Amino acid sequence: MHSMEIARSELLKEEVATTRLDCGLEVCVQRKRGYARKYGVFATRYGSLDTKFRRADTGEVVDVPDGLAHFLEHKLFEEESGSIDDVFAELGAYSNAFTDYTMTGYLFSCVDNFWPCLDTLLDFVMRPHFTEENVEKEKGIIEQEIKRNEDSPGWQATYRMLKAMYKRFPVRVEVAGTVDSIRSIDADILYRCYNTFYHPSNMTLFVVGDVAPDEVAERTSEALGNRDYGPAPAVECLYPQEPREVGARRVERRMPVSEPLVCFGFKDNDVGYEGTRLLRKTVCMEMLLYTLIGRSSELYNELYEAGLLDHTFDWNFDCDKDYSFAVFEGKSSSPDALVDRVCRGISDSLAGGIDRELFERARRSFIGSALRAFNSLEFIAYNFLDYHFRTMRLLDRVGVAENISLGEVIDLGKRLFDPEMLAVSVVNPL
Amino acid sequence: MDEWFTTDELPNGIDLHVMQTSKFKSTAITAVIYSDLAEDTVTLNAILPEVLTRGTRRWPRTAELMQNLDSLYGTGLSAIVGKRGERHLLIFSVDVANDAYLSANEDLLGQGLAVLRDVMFDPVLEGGAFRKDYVEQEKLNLRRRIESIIDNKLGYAFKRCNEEMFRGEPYSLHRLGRVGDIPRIDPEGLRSWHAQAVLQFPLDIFVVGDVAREHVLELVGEVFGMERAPVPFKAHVEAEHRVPAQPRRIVEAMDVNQGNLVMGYSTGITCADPDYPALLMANGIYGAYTHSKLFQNVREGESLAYSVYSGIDRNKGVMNVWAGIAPDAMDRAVEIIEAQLDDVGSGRISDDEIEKTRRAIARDIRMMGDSPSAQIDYAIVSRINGVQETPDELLRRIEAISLDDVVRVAGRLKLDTIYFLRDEGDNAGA
Repeated sequence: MHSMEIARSELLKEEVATTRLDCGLEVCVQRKRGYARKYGVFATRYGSLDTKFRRADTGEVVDVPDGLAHFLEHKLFEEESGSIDDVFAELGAYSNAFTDYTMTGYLFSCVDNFWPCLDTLLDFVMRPHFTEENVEKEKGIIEQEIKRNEDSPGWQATYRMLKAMYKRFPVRVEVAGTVDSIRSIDADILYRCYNTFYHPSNMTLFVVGDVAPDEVAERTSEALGNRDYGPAPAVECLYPQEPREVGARRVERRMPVSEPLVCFGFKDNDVGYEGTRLLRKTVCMEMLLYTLIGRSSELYNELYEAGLLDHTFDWNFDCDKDYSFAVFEGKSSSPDALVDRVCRGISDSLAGGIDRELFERARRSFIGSALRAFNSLEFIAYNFLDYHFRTMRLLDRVGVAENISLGEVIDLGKRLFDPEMLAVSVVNPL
Repeated sequence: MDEWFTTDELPNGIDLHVMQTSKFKSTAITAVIYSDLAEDTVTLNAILPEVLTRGTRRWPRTAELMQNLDSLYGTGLSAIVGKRGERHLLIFSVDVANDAYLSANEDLLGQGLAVLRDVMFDPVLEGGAFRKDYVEQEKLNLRRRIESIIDNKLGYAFKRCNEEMFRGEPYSLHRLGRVGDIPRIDPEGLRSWHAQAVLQFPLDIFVVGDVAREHVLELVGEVFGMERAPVPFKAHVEAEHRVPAQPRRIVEAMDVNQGNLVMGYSTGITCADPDYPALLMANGIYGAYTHSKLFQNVREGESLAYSVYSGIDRNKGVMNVWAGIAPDAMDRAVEIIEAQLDDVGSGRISDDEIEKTRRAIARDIRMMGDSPSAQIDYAIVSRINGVQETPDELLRRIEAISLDDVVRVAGRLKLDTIYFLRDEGDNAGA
């Protein structure tokens, strides 16, 4: 029996059991009684940002093409006998994989056959099969994916904003890379990255659904126990030093769109947060943004009535230890007027103080919405490890929201919304 | 999935369908008004939810209405227009946190129901009509939404394919209506259409959550006790569709990198047809999943597409194929896509393909039990099509489908329309 550590949220009435196996793999299970569907997510702390790293054992610095983590994800799905999708389909399961800034994840969901699905997931991720031939073939498929993104106005607006905001830090680089960058990828470089980042000690298995946590740990231990993974490679990711200022204040391009699309954001140089501090900051910023420009705010409704924004308008706060930014996006007939009014509205509110009643309403809204989100296994499956790898606990969002103060929210907001740190990207019609 | 809806009829003709389940942390409530999809009302229906969510008599300003939802622990409110076959639905939903999780004894359910009622029945009025400023703003926004369909190229290609395939039939109408109708919408005419829709059209309320049926019946009876003059729910007679002797081919060019191909097949089978389970199987073998023939042979085999899949509208006898392909690859893609269907129709299907598909469909059906909205939508579609079958019963029919059934149904599929959106290269239009 594996003894498992339990993290609990009294308010959500949810708990996550965690243990670390002998091979170094961490296993986390959130049991959801009564649900038919079960998800298994097997992920490594390796994402699109990790394009340059030093291995401590050899001292060698490796610099890989953009889009490599994503390429590797595509290729791991490939078996000698075909795609791993086939094996999951055989079991009646759905499978998928995804790559983002800091992680690569492999996922299945099923109703029946959970245990064979789990075995399959653990097995194929730990058994790479790259050949020059199958690597070349994949390039055609990924090229189509990149081209599809190039045709997406939303994607273009976002990435061009990030490229304007960041001069060097790789959040400015598309996760899939470019048609040019993936051209030089070969089997050798895939194996080198795989051997560096796909060691069990760098990975976590997360399961959510109606399954017993200790049985998941037991089965995983059996599935991986007989293999020798060698010592964990000590590796240091080398991120370029990002200057304080933004690279460009405003960028613009034309595409076949019906009306202008704008994406703008504030670069946050207040970085280095981890764990509960990072979670607290995330919740503070989400509540602040909701209070200032959420659907119920006076500012949002004023701009809606003025015809400067519509329901496509959305915002997000994205952060990790090494980067942090707030981003706004939407369609607008007058993008520059929208940016100006949002920025002015935010700085006026921060300077003049925020009404306590407004803030308390935003808190209630945040808590209720966070609670409702836990109805969805899909939400949990896709967000648990995203939080976990950024050293935060998804379960704690509600608890943190209950005790943050308006004062600290305003302080953080004043640091973030620096007009000098604004970058704007506009996609205009042809 | 043993739980299913229990139905009670209120004295004013509203049918209340309640499913009690302890799985979820909130209660989902959806009210549906059933209208026909028709040229002269499609755009009125499309704008109605937008105007109704701008303000009610109790909360005349949009910001106030939204702030009230914040106070109710972030109660989710959505009002949308949906197309199901030749029906046009007004769908109003609230999702209210269950008080048990919030140590807040505030009767959130009763308050949520009251919000739903107010939004549907009790709009803010001036001189007996909708507020002119709200109507004018929503007219502008609706026009922008319709015009922005082109921003998603595959979605646009799908809309165009439908328009060509069902020219002159109600089904050719988009759920958001037509730009040309918008100038004629005025606050008085829209208000009288609204009164007719809420007071005379069939109306169902669905409730899913940890709530006792008797309690909900009592609450809904109180909150939705208004006098109505409902017309009875009657079966809809579909427009007759004639498949052309040779498939229509439409090629249009735009400034894009990727080609988007949409094909329309006539099936003649809705979910009320005895052959519906066989059609589900045929569609699954052909293109609904990654193990299906389309994905395996068009994407994996030929590296011809990034995405390729098929889907059916169970409310209408139609199946579509969607593919993102290279802009010069239309003929080759159509040829391979057609060859896959030919294989299904000729019975060139392995046992493996059949069993994978059967398991995938069973998984999809059983998974619905984890989602209140999926179960509500299933119930709505059943109601529209006069189907009594629960998901469990459909599952049992899927278990009994044989290869012969699949072949027979595939024989009924006829290619009707091929629509291709390509680049503006030298050979465009050729």
